[in-house]
Amino acid sequence: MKFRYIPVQTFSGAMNMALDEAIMKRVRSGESLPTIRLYKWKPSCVSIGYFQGLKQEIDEDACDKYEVDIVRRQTGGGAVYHDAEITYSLIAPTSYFAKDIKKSYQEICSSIVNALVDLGIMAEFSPINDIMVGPQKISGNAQTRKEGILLQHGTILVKVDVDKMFSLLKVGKEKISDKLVASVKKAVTSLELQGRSEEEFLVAFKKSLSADYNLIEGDYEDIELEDAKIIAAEKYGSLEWIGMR
Amino acid sequence: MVVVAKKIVGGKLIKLSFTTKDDFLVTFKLYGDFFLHPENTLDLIEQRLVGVHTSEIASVIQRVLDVCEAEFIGVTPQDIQEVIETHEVDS
Repeated sequence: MKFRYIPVQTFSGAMNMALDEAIMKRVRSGESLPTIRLYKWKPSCVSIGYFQGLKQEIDEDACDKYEVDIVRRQTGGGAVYHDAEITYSLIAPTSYFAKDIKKSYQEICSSIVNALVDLGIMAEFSPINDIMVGPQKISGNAQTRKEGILLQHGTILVKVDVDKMFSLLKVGKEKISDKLVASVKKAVTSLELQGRSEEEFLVAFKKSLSADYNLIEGDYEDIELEDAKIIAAEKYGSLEWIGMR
Repeated sequence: MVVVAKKIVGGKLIKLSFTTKDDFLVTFKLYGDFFLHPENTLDLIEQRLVGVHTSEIASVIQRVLDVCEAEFIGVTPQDIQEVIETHEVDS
C-alpha cells in the first residue's frame, strides 16, 4: 500500500483538524495518495471528542489563562491535552484495513507498538484503542470513517504534565486530591519516562511504517493547505462547532 | 433533570442528561468518550428516544443502529437503558 509520508510539522489545533478533513477529501477523490502525517500543536491545545460536552469537560477560563487552544475533533474518544507529544494521522480508503473497526485499530496501532518495542519499550496494544506499557498508557487513538475514507489519529506521549492537564479539565476541584493526581501519574507514561527521546521514536516509527507500507516522503499540496485554512476558519475554529455539545 | 456519569466496564465513560415522567423519557442527551460510527447517528438516537418508555430504550436504540447500519463502540444500548432505569427520578 502506497502512502504519502509527511514528517513532523507544527500547526494550530484547528488547522490540524482541518488538514485531516482536507486530505480526506483529496484521498476520496483520488487526487492525493493515502497519507500518514506527523504533527505537533502550537499553541498547545485541548481536543475533545465529538461526543463530549464542552462545558462538562473543559475549564475554558483556565485554557484562556494558560493560552491553551480548544478544539473539537471529528472523532469520538476523550479529552486530550496536546503539548509534548507526537501526533499522527493516517488517512486511507477503508478497504485498506479490516472492516471490523476494533480490528482495524489493532492493525494501525501495530506500527506504533513495533516502533516502541524496537526502542526496548515493552508496549502492547490494549483494546479498544490504547497502547500500554504494562499498566501505563503511552498512546491513545481515535478513528472515524466517512464516505469510504478512514481517518485514524493518535498521540504518543513524549513528556507528561499531569498537573497542567488537571488545571485545564473540568474535574471538580474538590475531587483533585494529591491521591488522585498521584494515581493519574501512575496511569500514564511517556517516551521520556521510558528513557527514550522524541528523535529516537521518530526514527523507529518511520522504520516501522516503512515495513508496513510503501512510504513516499512528501509534503502538503498548496491546495490542501488552502482548503484546510478555510475549513479551520469556518468549522474547527468556530464557536458553533466547538460548542456543539 | 438527572445527570449521571458511568464508566462502562470494559468500555468507555458515558454521561447522560435526561428527564422522565411516568417512566417515559421527556428529554435525553448522551455525552461521553465512546465511539459511534457513523457519528451523526447520535442525533437520530436522541430524537427517537423522546417519548419512549424506559423499558424500551435499548430496543429503540438498536432499531436506529440497525436502520442506519451504525455501531457503538465502548457502550451498548443495554448499558444506556440500565443507567436510566437505575437513576430515573420522576419529574
